[in-house]
Amino acid sequence: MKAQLQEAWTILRLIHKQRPYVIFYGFSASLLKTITAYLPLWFTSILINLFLAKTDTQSLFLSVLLFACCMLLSEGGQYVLEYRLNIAVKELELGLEKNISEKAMYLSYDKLEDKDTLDLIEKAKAGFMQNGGIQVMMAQFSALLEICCTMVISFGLLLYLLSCHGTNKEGILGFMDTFWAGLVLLMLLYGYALFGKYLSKGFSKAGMKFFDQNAKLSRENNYYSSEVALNQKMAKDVRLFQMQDTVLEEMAQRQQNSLKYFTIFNHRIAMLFSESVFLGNMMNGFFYMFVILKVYVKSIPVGDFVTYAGTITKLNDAISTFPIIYTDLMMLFHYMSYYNTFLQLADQKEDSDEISLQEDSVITFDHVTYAYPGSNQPALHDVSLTLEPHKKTAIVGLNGAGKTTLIKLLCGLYEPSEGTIRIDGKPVTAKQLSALQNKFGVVFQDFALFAGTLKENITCTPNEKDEAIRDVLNRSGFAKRLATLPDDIHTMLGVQENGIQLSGGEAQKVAIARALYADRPWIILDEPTAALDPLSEIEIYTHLNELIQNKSAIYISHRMSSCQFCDDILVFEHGNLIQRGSHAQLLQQDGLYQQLWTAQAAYFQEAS
Amino acid sequence: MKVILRATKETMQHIAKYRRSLFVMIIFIWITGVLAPFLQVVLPSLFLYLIETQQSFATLMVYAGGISLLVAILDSAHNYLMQTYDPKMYVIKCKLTLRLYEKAMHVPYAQVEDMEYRQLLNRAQTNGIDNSSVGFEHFVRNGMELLIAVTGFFLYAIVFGSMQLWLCALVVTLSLLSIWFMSKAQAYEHVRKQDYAKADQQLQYYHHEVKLPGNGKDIRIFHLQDWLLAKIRYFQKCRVEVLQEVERKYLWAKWGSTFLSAARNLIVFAFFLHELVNGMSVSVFVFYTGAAAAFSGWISKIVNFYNETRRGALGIIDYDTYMDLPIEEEGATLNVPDEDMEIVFDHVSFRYPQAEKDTLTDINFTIHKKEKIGIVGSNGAGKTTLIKLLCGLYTPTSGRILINGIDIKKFAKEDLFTHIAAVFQDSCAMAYSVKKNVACKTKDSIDMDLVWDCLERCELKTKVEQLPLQEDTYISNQISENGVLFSGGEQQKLLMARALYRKANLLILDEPSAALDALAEAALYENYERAAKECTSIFISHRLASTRFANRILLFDQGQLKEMGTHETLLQQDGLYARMFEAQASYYQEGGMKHESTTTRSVDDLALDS
Repeated sequence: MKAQLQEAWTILRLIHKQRPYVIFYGFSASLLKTITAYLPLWFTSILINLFLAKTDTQSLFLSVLLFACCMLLSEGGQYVLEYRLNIAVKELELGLEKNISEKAMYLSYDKLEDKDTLDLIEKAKAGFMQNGGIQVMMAQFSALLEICCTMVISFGLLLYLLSCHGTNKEGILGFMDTFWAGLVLLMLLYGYALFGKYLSKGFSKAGMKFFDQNAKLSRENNYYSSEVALNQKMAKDVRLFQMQDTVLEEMAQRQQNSLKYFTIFNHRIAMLFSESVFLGNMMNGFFYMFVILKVYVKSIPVGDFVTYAGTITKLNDAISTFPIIYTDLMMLFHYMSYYNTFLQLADQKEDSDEISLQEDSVITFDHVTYAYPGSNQPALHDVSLTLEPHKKTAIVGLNGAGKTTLIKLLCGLYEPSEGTIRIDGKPVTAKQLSALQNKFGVVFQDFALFAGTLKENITCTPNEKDEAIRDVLNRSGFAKRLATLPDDIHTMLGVQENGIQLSGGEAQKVAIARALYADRPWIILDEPTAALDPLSEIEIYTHLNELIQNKSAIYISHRMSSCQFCDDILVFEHGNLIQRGSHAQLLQQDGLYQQLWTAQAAYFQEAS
Repeated sequence: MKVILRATKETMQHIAKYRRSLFVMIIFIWITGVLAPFLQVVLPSLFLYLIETQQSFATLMVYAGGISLLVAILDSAHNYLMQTYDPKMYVIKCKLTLRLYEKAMHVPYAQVEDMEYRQLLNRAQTNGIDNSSVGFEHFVRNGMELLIAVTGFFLYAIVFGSMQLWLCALVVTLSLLSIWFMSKAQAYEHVRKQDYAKADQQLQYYHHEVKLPGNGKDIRIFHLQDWLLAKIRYFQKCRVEVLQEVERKYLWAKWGSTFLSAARNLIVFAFFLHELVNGMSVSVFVFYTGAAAAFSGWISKIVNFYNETRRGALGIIDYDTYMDLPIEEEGATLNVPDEDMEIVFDHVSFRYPQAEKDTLTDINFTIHKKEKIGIVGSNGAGKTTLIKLLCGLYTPTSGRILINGIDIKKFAKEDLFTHIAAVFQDSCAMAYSVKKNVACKTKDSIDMDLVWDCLERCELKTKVEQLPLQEDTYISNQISENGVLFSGGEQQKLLMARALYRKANLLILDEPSAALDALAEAALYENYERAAKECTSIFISHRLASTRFANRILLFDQGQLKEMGTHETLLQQDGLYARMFEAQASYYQEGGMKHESTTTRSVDDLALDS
């Protein structure tokens, strides 16, 4: 219980920090709403009492007018606050989502690839998106506040009621009019509240269990729906191989499991809830009897009966729904705590140092080993090498040899598990990693372009000069395509309606242009021509040599042909550096390089 | 209103089909939902009446106890039913969801890429079945509350009508006026929905993209965080602006409503006060004023629930609109005979809808039975489009495709697919078991002997035998704890096993080796060559290495079939093919490639995909 409240308090503070005043609006709106609900009761009582006290007609009608005005003010005010509240809640929701994305972009890269982090991100998102999202959470919160206001007011009224005594002290009726009898009633009420606590425990236990079971199943079904059934890329295979029934079978199975859990959960809740309502109504009955007694023995004026009768109903409603809403809200807060956990992860934004990597710097790998988290086999094993500036180096090897891992270590996306990477002899510290990332211009095999103008995708910031952009587009061979674009460099690229879809090769050229534009001391190209045809490929390699000139460059390619352009070739196998030298030297050695070369060259030598 | 009626009809059909017991539940919920609150209003005035008529204390207690018990039973029954009908609705929603996905997977391929279609699908999904606050579930839940509120409203209207018809009419008119205010605000919201949707779509895109590990590299290397965050902030601002304008309209509507209800209270109270002064008993006064207050409660409930019901109804209609899209074309009923395929392209042209020019123009060729064809050409030349036409995924804009002499249009698509095995560039293993990946059939229809046979021929049998659950192991790290990921090469073998299982008459490979290293690529082509001995096959690549396995080669350039022949004859022709071959071959010659300007110039002339 205490832990729950602690958690709730943390979340409320988080909410308040993200969007100040949203809680204030919620509270005030709830308060006014409660008052609006009580006004008719009060006024009816007042009117009846005034009437029975033989007040003049004019005053009576004036009080009706007063009543109407109060309703106007109260309800009008409530709506203003709700207006403010709705907007604030939306801003809150958007802000929270932005925070998650921002965090995701600043996390250290190896965390982003880690399945646990991805899971946490999912949970963080689910935290405020599931079950209706933060809108529902704030609505429940408002409802809870309303209930609390109601309970406070009702309770106050009841206490007052208990303190009223009539003049007749005879017999049973006389006894029941006393404070002690009232106390008995309060004990009953307390008992009922305790039952509510038991109720809420049962509710929350069932709810947590269901959430966990269901989250997994719905994540899996989400995968099937977004990655298979509704996925454009998979559509060909799905139809040609008639996978429809297979996929539906998987989904139906999960739905059935989900239904099973849901039914169990639901049944439990239904029982708890209706028990609570039944008891609540019985409590209602007792209270009615009590109030009738008070009126009967004339402890309170007749008119007040209306108010107390209404209060009882409201109090009863409040008490019976309180446990449900409270537990629901606590559960929602609990989901939100995943969000909080995610935000607490360390990131590269706050904690980074600068690094000095010039055009002439020498990079050294000093017994570097790297193993992916959760893997017992290292992807790179005890690699020591020196990379001289102003050279073109090729890295070759079979799939899984560790080539891309090497690149990621080089440009600061990973930190070595063992060993050090040095720049000009000085070891690179963990804090320098994010600065290191900005020293390389990289075109990955799975590079990403984003929805935005062509210009933005190349400059990576808005407001840059056009000249330099055209230059790099030219050099990467994109000039011809640029001429066909509707808005020149301001053409929107992207998946939305107004975006242009570039072909694989065209996109690759834009990625290359982006790397060139960044003008970093080192350039790394991972399979830069995989999507291009032979003629475009030559174009790229020829021009690349011209434009890289003095920069330091690293190529990874499966086409042995690209090795021809390089001064130095590194050959990897199973995470180890096994050969190194120029093309001519390696061809002479009886090793993997020769094997790879011969395999490809065979096609052309045989046929020509 | 029409919308709601239509949705009601649909809903009742769904319930009747999947969970009839829901009808009974709905009726009980309705009854208890109306009676319980009514009794609660009656209680106070009843007791006042009893007190006024000097009943004994005992009588009072009996009444109090009895009625409380009755209300307790009704109320708790109501709540119990309100809870337990959730699973029943869930069942129905699950069925509807599956039907949607089934449809989405059967819709003709050409439509899948169509923007309008995707929007329809998106709306059907988001508004119809995505979660419990939309579509069917939302409609039923709120529809029921609406029904209760409307019944309650009429009940009270009758009560008033019995007192003073004009009063009842006045109250109803005022209520209708306030509903009218709200509907204006809603209409405005509906108009602005487009703007909502656009901003939300953009936000969804950015939020999704920045979390993908694949994109994370570029984001960090090029420090794209600021740019992407600026985009997010921008669209968020747009979204909030729209919301503000909509909420403002609602605020005015609500204020109008408040004013009207204050006026109503004034009139009602003044009237009954007048009656009270003129001799009406207090208990009757309490009854009518209490009913008036409850009355306004019903009205605001009607407004609320009407909105929500309507929203649910619109979602149902979005779902229906999508489900009513046609699937099968007319007249395509023929089954493809199970024999080797001869394929003829007869003046075939193809243009994407909304494209300005043809992707393929006047293609003519014949592929003979059991022939091995290599298709080459640069990106954008139309190779993949050609394959999609061949598979029946697209239909030619003009010309015909003949399979063993019969126009492809005459064949039932689903049957045609069973005779073709294709492996595309972006094909990959699916997140289900190995055996399902190979067979692509439901659990009970899998021929395990054939599965093992195919796995063996692809050199995957040993690997699968060593997996934790052997052929039942899931290929994924997302779905099951015992799931495994296959490496690139192993995936290729799996895809090949899948292709072999089909025992197809036509085998198609589209750029399968792009991501493979040299040795794996060689192995791949060798394996396929072995497998392809049994049927007509087509290999596509822009790397000419694959053409050594072909009997004939078709060279495409900018949507046209430029050259055709065997490898030797094409080399002799000294055309585009010869140039491309020479370009690639030159790398591997002694002395390596020369970065000469001659090469560059001829490249510029021929440069295809820039």
